[in-house]
Amino acid sequence: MPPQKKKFLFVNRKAPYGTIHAHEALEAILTGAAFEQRISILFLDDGVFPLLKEQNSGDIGLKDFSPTYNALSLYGVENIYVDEESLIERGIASDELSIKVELKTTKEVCLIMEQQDVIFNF
Amino acid sequence: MLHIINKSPTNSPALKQCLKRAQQGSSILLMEDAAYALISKTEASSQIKQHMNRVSFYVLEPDIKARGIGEKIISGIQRIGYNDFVKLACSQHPVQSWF
Amino acid sequence: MKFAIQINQSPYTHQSPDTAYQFTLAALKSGHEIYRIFFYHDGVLNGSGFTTPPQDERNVVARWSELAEEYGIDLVICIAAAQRRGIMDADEAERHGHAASNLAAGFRLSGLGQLIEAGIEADRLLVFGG
Repeated sequence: MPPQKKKFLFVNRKAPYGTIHAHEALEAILTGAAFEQRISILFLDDGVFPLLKEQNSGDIGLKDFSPTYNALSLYGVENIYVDEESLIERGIASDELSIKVELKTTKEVCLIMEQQDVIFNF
Repeated sequence: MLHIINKSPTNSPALKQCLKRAQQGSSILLMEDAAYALISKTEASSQIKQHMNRVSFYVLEPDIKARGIGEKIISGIQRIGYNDFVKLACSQHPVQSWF
Repeated sequence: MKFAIQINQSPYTHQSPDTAYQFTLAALKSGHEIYRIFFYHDGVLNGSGFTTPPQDERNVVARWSELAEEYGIDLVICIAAAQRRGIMDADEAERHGHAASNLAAGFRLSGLGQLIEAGIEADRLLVFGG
């Protein structure tokens, strides 16, 4: 019998460009997808910033990795969650996000975290 | 569930962000510069006090001692060493580090 | 219990590699297994074999190497992060035309898959620093 799949949650809490974390989170998710576990992503706190549309990082000389978020569903990522309060705190409306996400309340975010087997922190 | 914080509460929002999401019955371990959150009569320690009835708080004693704040911290916090940190990690799951 | 450890920060600037070391040592001494330590982001500098602190100071890198030798733990450096920060084993150094290699004893270079696999195999994943 094959081993049971684990519930993996990748928590992204960092803005893009200023540090490498958001970009690395994406790399780790794409790598993780190949291992056929049950993968969810949570965008929390400043981690909602990488989802903004219309990023153009040409002038700062860094690669714009945001188009890759579009590929997440193709990679079999089960759930893409965004903490609604993090959006509100940062003056972002959900229609400003580049991909389709599930908005979650604080209470729901807590439960999602508790229900995981492993949390990868970024 | 175990939450780990290693950032000072006066320089980083990590403590606030963690407290908002920590569920009833979960544990929070303060380590490294997060130990400063326990200094009495500060905004951070009063926030921690408000959550004490539903969340268990731990701090790494070696970090308290190194920083010279052993006499300044609020009561009701479990001061633990690295062996108890291991036991805590065994008893709680999953683990989220807030940095 | 089987632990996987992830270390994100560089030694000497941040305390987190020291805390991770103390945790690892305590876990091993209490009979637990460290399935793997994965060094990520600036944490790859924990595997720089040219690290030469003053003699009266702890040697963070040598300390990991000694732990690997004594307990046989798997110290994995993220290869993509390592290439960007100039940490190379002999093969990598030769392939990229560098005069010397600097990966410390007991470490190996590998991909991000090693972190994911550690998440699958271990009972707990603990992340230090970031």
